[in-house]
Amino acid sequence: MIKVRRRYKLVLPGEVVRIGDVKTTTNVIKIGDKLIATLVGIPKMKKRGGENILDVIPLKTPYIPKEGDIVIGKIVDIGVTNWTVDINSPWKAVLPLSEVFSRPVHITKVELRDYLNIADLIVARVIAFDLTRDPLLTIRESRLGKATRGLFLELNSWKWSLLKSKEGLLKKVKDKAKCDIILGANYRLLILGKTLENELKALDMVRNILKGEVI
Amino acid sequence: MSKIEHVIPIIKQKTIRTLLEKGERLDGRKPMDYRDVRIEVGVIDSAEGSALVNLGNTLVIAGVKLNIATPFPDSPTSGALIVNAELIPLASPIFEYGPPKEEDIEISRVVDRGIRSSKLIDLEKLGIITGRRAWFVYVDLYALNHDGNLLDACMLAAVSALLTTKKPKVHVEGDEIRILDEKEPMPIENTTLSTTFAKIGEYVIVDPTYEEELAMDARLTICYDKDGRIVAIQKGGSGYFTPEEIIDLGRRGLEISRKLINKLPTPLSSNEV
Amino acid sequence: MKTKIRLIDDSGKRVDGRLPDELRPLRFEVGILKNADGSAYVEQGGNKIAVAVYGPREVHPRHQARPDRALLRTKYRMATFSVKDRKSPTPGRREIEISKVIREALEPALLLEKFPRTTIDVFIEVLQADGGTRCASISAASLALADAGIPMRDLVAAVAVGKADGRIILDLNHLEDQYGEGDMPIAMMPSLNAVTLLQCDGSFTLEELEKALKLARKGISTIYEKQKEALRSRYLDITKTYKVV
Repeated sequence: MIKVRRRYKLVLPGEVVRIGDVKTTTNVIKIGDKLIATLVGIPKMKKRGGENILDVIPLKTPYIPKEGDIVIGKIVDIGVTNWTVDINSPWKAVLPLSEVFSRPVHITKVELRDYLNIADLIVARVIAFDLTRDPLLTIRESRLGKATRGLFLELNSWKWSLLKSKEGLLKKVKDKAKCDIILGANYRLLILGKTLENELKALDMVRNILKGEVI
Repeated sequence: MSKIEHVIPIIKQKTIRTLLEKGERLDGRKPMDYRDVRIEVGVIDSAEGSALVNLGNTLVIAGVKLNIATPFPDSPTSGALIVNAELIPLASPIFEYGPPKEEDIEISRVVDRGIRSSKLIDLEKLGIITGRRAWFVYVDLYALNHDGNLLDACMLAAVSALLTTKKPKVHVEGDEIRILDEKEPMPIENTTLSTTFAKIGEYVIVDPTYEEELAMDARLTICYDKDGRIVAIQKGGSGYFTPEEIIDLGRRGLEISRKLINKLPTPLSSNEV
Repeated sequence: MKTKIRLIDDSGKRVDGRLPDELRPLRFEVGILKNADGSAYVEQGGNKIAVAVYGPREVHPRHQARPDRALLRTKYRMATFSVKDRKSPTPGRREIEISKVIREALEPALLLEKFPRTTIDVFIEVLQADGGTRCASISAASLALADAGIPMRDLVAAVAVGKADGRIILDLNHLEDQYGEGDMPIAMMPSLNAVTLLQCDGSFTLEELEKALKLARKGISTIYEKQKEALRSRYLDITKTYKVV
């Protein structure tokens, strides 16, 4: 298959993307009839609820949590009834005790440290977030929980976008290296295999995908 | 992320240790492999000497400023050396501007020790008027990107900057000192550099990256001069080394430093200035 | 005591050979520091300045956080070896004032309401100084903020205009700053025709002020183009080959 090099129009903050009356996301601001980009990125027309909405897909952006996102978090603090989790977003997330156990648990009988300690990694889901409070996490579902092994990689937004667009290749890695690959919405990657060898093989393949090489 | 969160994930610590059991490191190096070193001198025109050092992804800049001042009372015929290192926020989210912290001060003092013990500069040749006037040599170091082993990087930067510093010539007539436009090299008598080792569990590696430093138990820095003599040592971190480990590292460090020393710039000669 | 130096010669050339409306050689580089969320480097004449941006991130101490928007904190510092006579590492009042005016030059451009209860930290380190450092810092900081993905209305570009031997001149170097008759740093969001930094010391008539603003506008347009070039070249490498979601 021939790989086609496509050049996309890059817009910069302050540049006019388009003139006219179109709905926009918050990445585009309206000044008079000019629609102006607020980020470095690629303009794209999206369809939302039958309407055309102008967006700029930023190449580099901090991770803003959304309800439903699967994220890879790192425990950074332990409270009385919750853990504070670094999810690579401008706000730290909270994992309450009630979102860890499926049965109600008596607080004084539980030593939080025994379950999740500082520097533990978890795969969690964002169950609530708005700009007035910190993101709320849960690990109560299946496939969520503490990572007891694996290779952890911090990406940035564009490397993450690249991997996200290569689902097929990632599946190839999973099959070839016999590993599970969790691509968190928060630009973090977790490779889980039975052995370190498998995991390193998968890591190597992922690195090659990022470099644009054949795997 | 603030300082509190700069703990390395436990599973990564485990991975680092597991890899070391096989003699491997996260970045593909072997335990005693030193990262690539790139040194650029004369990068700052406002400084009399300067050097930019890339040690892997660690980036450090040194500037040498010369000033004529009153010599210290206990060394009336000597110039003085003042080393100041600053770990500034440009280098890492864990650093803040403010008065020097213990990390900044430790680096300053160890770099100073390496330079002083090796007698890299003959401070006696920097006296101008006995008891009244002498050259004060300020070596200021700034970390620009932190990916581990700031100490070795700072040492390389400080030494490279000093070796290529252009000192103004002075003309002394009685009590009067005239600073001339002509320049000359510094009175260089030796050279020095350091090799830093990190102990992770029972394994020792050289030139740790930032993540390896987060996973390490203890650190040992050994400075050598151009003849391979040990001129400074600094153990850091809350772990320990056995005496046998120390001697072994002394030997390994010597080997590594002999290769590293070729990366340093040659001291300026009087016609190059 | 100011010694009289001839800043503009008989042929109308300045001490470094420039004409009154000429900018110094200018170069920007984006994304030079790996640990920062955004970074940029500028060389303008003899100025060499590196800027790092972190954020948005949580505020420490927490009580300083604003519930409605992000804080913008700016620290401008000069390396000890950045000037001819070694500068003390302790920040002086000049650096503190400059930190403030730089922050206020950048703030109008940023959409801070998108990140309540956080802070965006801008760190500026002047490695070599040659007049107009606060302006060069603002231009570079604007790029570092864009590099960090901080949403903004426009880039901010800045230049210092001044007066030498009675003439209004653009982009003062150190000598012109020290021995000239006036120094006026100006920053703008060029697409919005908005002035976000304006300071002045010296002596100007109202007409001269108008001339100075016009001249600054011209210089800022050129700087703005160079900023955009630097951003584009940084990101073109990424977008060239791959489809970005």
